[in-house]
Amino acid sequence: MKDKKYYEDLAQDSMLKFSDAEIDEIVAKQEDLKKEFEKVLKIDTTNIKPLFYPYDDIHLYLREDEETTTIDQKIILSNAPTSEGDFVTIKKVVK
Amino acid sequence: MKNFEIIIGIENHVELKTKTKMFSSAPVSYGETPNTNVNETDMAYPGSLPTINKKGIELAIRACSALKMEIDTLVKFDRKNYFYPDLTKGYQITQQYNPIGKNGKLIINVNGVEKEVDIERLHMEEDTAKQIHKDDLTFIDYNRAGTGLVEIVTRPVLRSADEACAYVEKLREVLLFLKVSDVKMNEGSLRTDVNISIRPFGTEEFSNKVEVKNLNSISNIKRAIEFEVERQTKMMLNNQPIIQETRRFDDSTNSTVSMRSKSDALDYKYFREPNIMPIQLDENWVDECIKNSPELADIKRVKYTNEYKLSSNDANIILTSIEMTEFFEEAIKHTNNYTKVANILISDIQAQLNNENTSIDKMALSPVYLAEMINLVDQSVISSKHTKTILPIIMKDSSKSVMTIVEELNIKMISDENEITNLVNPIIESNIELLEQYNERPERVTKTIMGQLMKVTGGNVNPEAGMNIIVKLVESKLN
Repeated sequence: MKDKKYYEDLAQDSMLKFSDAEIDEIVAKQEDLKKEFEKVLKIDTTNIKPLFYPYDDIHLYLREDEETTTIDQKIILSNAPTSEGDFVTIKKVVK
Repeated sequence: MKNFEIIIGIENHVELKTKTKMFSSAPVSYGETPNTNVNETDMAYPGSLPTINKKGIELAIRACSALKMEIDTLVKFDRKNYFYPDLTKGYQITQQYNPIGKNGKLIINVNGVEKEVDIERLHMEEDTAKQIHKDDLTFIDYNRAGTGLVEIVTRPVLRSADEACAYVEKLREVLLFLKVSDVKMNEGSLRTDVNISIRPFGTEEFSNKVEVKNLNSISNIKRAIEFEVERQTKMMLNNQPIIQETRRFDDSTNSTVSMRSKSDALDYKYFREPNIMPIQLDENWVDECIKNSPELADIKRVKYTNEYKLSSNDANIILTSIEMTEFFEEAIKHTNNYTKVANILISDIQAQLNNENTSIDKMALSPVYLAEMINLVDQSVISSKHTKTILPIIMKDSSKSVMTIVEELNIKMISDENEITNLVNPIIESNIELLEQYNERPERVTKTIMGQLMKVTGGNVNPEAGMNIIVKLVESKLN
């Protein structure tokens, strides 16, 4: 059982902030989730190597350092929630 | 302070000199209009996928080879997850678990003593966007996001600020000559993080290590380490715990300032990058990359002093700049007077570069014309004093050959025997009394005549030919 502190740390890593009530709700939900995952834990994985990809393969392809592609600055800035001049802007997060 | 042993490990982030980014085909740029050199992959638009820059891998292989590392030819990448807008994906692609290079070494020289620095790893990753924090906003330029980097990490084997500086200087030289990076600390293409801890001599345990991040000059590396050693020593002597933390160097106060402590440290939850399958490099291609690596400064240094007979000081001055080195090597393809090329480069040309605050590749000066000027002096076509006239012209304008300039300025030296004889005869005739001194003071006589010859020709007579004719004519007159 993961405690409240675990979720507070997780929230910090994700740059999120939860109220005490929200954390309590998350902690309560985890029991249900854990039951689901227990089914997975019953699978015998003895001598099975971890698989990182949907299929195990090795590639040889490398891109040549020649052709360049860019997208218009207007598109970049219009896709950003806020912008100013040539820059994407966000609320300052450093002290 | 002498009671404590200093332990330093260094991490360098080096921007790779590629045309395009490490995982996208957007151009790599510096100083361009913000947010113009980016594409869908850099901005993490849905559906975009990374592709690996072959040149980036080649440059990493060059660096690994020069640093005597074991190279892993099965290239794998990992994700370093963190939520921050300097990378739009929410993670950085890096090589946490399988660095391309490991277990290397670099020999440094500290005040005449050689030391082998153990290098733990070299891995490839991508740079982040540039941020400017102003008032209550952060302005983000994604042009830098995705630029290829190699991170080179030493083991904690350095024992002083001088050793740390010597290591970074040597590494910088190696990467510069390999053309892996332009390694400009002031522009951020080489960034240094230093881990510093101390322990009383005779004890096994170190204090907690303190990391000072983003040092952008050799002098700041030295100052930051010296400050940290003094700060940690005072704390240890006062029985205060040294906190494991990340600090930054403030050069206005010459001190380090805390950024975050270990308790604030993020867990990056690394895992294998699922969008990039492992890539098996062709062993023959890897061998070719190593074989075709540019010559290192250390090899050039030996060649310059042994083969070209430059002083070690002159060789070192030329080798401080890759542009100067390339210019020198091009010029000596066209003249055998290597020392003269070096002398002019180090004195006249360097002074001009300093005045204009520029580098030699930005000047109009052609190495071929510099060599031509030196050859014309060596062949007595022009006098060496005329190089002072010609050099400023060829430094500004490369449209005319040196011979054309010599002819336009009419400064070609007179070497023809008949022409000199015709010039010397009237001088001797008007100095007949002077010849009487020839038996007692021959030098006075010939030098006086030579002086007058130079005066009437504006110094344009070949001195050796002139003197031979003067002696011959004076002696025939006396006989």
